[in-house]
Amino acid sequence: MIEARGLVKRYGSTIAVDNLSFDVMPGTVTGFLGPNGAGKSTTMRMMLGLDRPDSGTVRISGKDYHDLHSPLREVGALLEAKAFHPGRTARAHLTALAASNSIPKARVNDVLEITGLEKAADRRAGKFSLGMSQRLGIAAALLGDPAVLLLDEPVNGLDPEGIRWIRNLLKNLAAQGRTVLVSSHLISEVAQTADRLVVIGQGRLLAQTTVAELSARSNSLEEAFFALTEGSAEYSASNLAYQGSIS
Amino acid sequence: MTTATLTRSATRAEPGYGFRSAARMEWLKLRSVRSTSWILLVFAIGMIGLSVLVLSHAHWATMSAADRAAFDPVNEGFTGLALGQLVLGVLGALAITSEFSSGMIRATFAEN
Repeated sequence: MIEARGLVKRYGSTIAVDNLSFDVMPGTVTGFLGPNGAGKSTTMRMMLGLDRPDSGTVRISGKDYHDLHSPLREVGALLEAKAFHPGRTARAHLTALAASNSIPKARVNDVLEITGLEKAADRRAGKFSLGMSQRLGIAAALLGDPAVLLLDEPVNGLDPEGIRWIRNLLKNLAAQGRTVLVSSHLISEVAQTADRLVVIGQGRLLAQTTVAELSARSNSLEEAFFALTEGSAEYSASNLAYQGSIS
Repeated sequence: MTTATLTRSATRAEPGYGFRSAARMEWLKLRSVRSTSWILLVFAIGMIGLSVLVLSHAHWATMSAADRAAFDPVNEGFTGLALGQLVLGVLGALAITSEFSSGMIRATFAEN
């Protein structure tokens, strides 16, 4: 379970996250949605202790990240696909991460198998495609067999087969009672996997709801989402229909 | 993909965490990139090679008495040390800067 309470993060005069409170429950996949620049990544970084909130707290399984004994075993995260040394093999990368939290070496083979990277395990990760890099990032997140998973835009760069794979994986992980938080700016993608939604815009909470409830608000889920996030994008979308004429 | 491998408890066996595991992680990271072996090779060849080169110019048999008195073979044998230190400095710098350039630093700090 993840509990965010009154999170605030400022960068200079810009407020990235503005008094954000929400809960992410175990046993379900929760979509974390918002337009670009809404503060999703900043919020996830605060959950992992990589950014210090200016005020407020976020607890993972009831604890502050810094108080977790073996963080990899409590929370797995994928923040960026290419967060590895390009010269290191996938196996070496995972083995080093495992060592940092005293995770048995056998687990490296397990996660390589889960993510379908066994054959590529001994190749240098710098040569991986974006989709394979994402898989390696997910392998790292699963390494500690954590109860809480944070995935920032995990479907980016995956092919259709990969997208279907990750949907099933996330559903399976949630069915095992884990807390799964998946950020995305694509409501249609998240709706395929998530049951619950946390929607933010300009750092503020816009809705904490279920996919079913949100889609009941309007003709389509996308329309309901746009109605919700309207006015909170960093840029104006008023020129959605281009007024000029060609010729 | 098997669901069996996803069940919890698989990794609960071995607790314990701290400086030792952090050191093991760093050791594994250092060993698993190619630049490390190249640098160590340059270090050994450079350090030994430079000392051999310097000493090969000293000829005891043809030295004057004053030169012989001033000759310090130990000191000259260490000539390569300065170069060696420099090369090892590069190893250290590469180890940390690659963490930042790849973003691995987040994992390194987040997990320790």
